[in-house]
Amino acid sequence: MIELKNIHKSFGSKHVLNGINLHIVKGESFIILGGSGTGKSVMLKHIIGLMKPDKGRVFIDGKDVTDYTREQWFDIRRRFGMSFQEAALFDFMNVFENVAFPIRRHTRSTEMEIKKRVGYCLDIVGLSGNELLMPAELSGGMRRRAGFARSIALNPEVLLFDEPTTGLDPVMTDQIDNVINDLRRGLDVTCVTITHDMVSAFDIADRMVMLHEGEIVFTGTPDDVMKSRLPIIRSFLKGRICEEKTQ
Amino acid sequence: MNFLDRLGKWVLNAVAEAGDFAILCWTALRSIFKRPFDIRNLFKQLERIGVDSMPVVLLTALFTGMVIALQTYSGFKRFQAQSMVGALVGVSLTRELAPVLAGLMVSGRIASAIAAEIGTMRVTEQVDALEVMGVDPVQYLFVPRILSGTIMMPLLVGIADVIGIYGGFFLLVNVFGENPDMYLNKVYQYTDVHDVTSGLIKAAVFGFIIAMVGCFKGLRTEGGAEGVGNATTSAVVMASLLILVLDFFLSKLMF
Repeated sequence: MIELKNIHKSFGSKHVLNGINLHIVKGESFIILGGSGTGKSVMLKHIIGLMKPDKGRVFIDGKDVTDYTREQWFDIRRRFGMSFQEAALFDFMNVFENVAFPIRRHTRSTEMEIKKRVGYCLDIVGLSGNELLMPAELSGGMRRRAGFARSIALNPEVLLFDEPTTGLDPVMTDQIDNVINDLRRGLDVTCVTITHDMVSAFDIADRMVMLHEGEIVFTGTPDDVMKSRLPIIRSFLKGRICEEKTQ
Repeated sequence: MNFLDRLGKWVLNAVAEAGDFAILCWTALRSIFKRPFDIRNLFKQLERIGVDSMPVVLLTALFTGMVIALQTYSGFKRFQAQSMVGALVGVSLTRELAPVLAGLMVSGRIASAIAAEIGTMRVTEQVDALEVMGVDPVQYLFVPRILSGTIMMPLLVGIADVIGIYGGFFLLVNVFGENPDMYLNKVYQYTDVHDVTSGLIKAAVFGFIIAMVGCFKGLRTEGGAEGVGNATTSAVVMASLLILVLDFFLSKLMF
């Protein structure tokens, strides 16, 4: 469904992506692992057209979309839902208006239909009854769940999550993982998640890639990860063991 | 060599920024005619840019009218020409002072506010969120603001013209005891319709520039709180300078 072929990206003299190749299959939950500053978010931005590669091609459903114009990308993006690291809720709108925003912009739904759809989305993420709260009044976890609700408002085919559990406590992390799994099962969507949290990754992954210094150093299932002898994977797993001990 | 190197870099950056600004102006102008039209957002911005700026613009106009009358009265009286004060207040306010001073006051208030608002949206990924949802940020954020600036500035300046002229009238009649009819007659006699319309055209251009610069600087914000602060400051400086430079060229074009 989504394919990146030999993607290179630099910012000044810093090479962030060095020949990335990956293929995401329809319906799977795909995890992009890696430490801070390894280019995970940059890779995600290439998938959704917020950045253009210096070299390489991006394919969606077999179509080369690398050189699409902004207007063409706007059409493609309606099939995607993206949840940002800090949720990126519009701070001048309450939760209801945030979730209703894409519906108002892209459909001709009546107020009754919008209300029903927003209610459904908020119910899925467990935020019913918080419609009138402003983003500043929400906790970190609630804000992210409101961001999830907004990202599924238009029934997307692909959901992108940018570090959905970073900075949250373990209980909230578990809740967010459950929401992601529920969304995937309930809505039958393809999920692409960026994270450096191994616990989360094991909870939600069908397949994982590990990004290190701008290159993919590992691709496989969670079982393959457990069996891997790669030092970078082992150090990530060690981080996991440490976390389990502290819980 | 080092100095020349830095000068060259500065010139290249300035030219690149001017080019980006021109392209964004063109994109924003084209976006005005694209659907959907966001009427609710437009009215919100009309209120914010126009209605909320009224007190500061009217106070500026009132005291500007009074100070021109005060300065010219004492000068003109030396050669018995105090009857011409009304003419000078009317022409100088409508042609120059009302649009330029209102422009500078509104740029301090609105260009900074727009840059801070869009800049904050930029650094908190709200602008990226718009893009990802298939909503063009230029159409959603820029269009209501530039339309409001372009519509409301001439209205503000029109009211400022009247308030400024009556500021001078108040001072001459109530402080210096001059004949009220004489002042107003000279205003009507020497102030042409063209003086008023040229001032209003300038105001519309300044309104567009103020909103556009605020949006442009906001959209280019990088970094966190410091970046938003820098965007706000540079928006006011750029808008004020553009107003003064464009004022010269518009005056040359219209008179």
